[in-house]
Amino acid sequence: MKDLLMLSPIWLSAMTGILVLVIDLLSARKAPRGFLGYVTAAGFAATGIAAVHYWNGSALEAPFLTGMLALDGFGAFFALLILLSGAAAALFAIDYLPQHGSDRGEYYALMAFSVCGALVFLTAVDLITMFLGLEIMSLSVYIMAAMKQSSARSTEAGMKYFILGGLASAFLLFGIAFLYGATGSLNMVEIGRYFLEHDPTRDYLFPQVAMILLVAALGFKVAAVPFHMWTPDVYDGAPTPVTVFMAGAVKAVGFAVLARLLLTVYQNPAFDEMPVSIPGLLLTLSILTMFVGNILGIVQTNVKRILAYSSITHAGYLLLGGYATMGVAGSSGASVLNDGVPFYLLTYVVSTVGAFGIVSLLGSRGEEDMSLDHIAGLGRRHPVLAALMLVCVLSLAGVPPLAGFMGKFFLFREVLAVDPNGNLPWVVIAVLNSFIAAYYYLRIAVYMYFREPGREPVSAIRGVPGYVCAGIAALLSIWIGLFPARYIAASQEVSRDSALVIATTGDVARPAASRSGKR
Amino acid sequence: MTGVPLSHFLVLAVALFTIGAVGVVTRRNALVALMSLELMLNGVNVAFLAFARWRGDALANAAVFIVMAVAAAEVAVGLALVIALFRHNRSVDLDEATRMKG
Repeated sequence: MKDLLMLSPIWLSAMTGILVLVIDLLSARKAPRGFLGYVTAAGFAATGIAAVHYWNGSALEAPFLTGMLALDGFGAFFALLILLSGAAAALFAIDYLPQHGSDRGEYYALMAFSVCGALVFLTAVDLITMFLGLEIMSLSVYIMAAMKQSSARSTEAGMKYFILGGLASAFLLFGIAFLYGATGSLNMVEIGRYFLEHDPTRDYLFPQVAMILLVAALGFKVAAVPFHMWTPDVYDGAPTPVTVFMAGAVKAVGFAVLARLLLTVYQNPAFDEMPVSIPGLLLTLSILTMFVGNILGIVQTNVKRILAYSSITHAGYLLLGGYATMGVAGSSGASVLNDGVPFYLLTYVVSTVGAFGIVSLLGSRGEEDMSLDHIAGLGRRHPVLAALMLVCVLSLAGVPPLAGFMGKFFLFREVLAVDPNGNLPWVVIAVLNSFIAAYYYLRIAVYMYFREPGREPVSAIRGVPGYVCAGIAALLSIWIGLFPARYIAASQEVSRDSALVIATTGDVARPAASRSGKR
Repeated sequence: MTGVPLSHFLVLAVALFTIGAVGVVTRRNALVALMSLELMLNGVNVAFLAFARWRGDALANAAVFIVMAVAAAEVAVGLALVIALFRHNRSVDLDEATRMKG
């Protein structure tokens, strides 16, 4: 019974999807399907409560799934981020889908299944379970991205995401195969233990190849730079509530899994001597991501694409946090995720969900044009939406005292705290990039408030759930910025859980003294 | 069969995977891209089986079945998307699907 309760967030989200499907089947064919959005959101709320109640503070794995899932505080924190984005995506869709001629109940069911997959992906310890979770999440998102059948752009977005997502899944699986080849296990903890007990520097070919493949695969999911090509097109073409989910939940879960996987499997400090070391690779990706995301973001003239590049840039800052892992006291020398990262993800998810959500409310009756000219004069025509958008966008830009500023401030401070001298140049680069990024965020604000409406002024959807959601996102962006202490404390606790604890019998196998210092 | 060393299987697996990856990136026909995705997953399966044999361990054999099932699900979604694309463009050429430029 305890096991069933521990697993409740996963089956609650799946049950939500099945319930939505059944209600959808029983409703009249022509009836509007908006009420299913509330059902989905309520299901996600129950899932969130269950996750916090059962997972928080427990490091216990459900015994009958021994070693398959780790249901702990780390899972609870990121589950909340996933559920927050999922619920927002369902609520924004209530008024969006009818306006865009795709009012289908399947959307809400797929959203619930996708969330279920994300939860499995997030908590998996067994690598095949992890792959299954990834596929459950991604397959649902591919379909949702192509949901707007009347729109060629939406279909295109679904197709592009499918092809590149499939590529990423194959990379992940090939990485898993190499880890299996090196250690004979498919369990993260077992693999980590094997590497701790056997000197990995003697034969590092398989772990090295596996590491590159895994980082590439998860890099796709979080839209880090060499793997970002799909991001603007897919974010732009997909129905905007789906973009909310992709930019919020998929990115958050991608980072959580990246952190847990790398920190657990590659726990042995000797791995730093691989030809391509993890910190080096993450740092390179981080700096590339920041610059490319910003430079391409500056030249965009479409609000959705600007926000897509903004989300790429944020992946860059987060990767910098991934690079600066923190040491913890312990014999194995294991390091944990920088404690700025979970908090940063929280501020990013809240603001980006708000921003994309508000974009979903602009443009009624199938309008897809989201150019800057389109939103010109929004401040005068729709003052409430414009004000909410301003808060979210300024928070993403990192203007004090909003959440985004606190997130950046805390992350950069913690990165510096790890290695004050060595990390200074990277933090300076990141701060410079936040200034560059301010340009395109402010551009949105300028167009909203200081430009005359164009020939085709924006017509916003009037719908209560969307406005309430946007309001909550904006309020949270202010609230977290003003009173961050609680969330920072939660973030510090979460990051301590990021590397799964491995009990080893003997001493950690380190490379022979003659080999160290070669780097 | 007993005499074939692990490296031979791995070379085959990597070759299949690479051919698939190159196919996904370069071929512009959506159906060929789908087939290339399948080829990549099959390359992974060969690697799993080779490692399982090398280690004398049945664990990865189970993994291969799961991968095959997931690949089937993936193809179902992929083909549905190809049909949706065809309805709009009257072709399955990915190059014609460029209303948005990355």
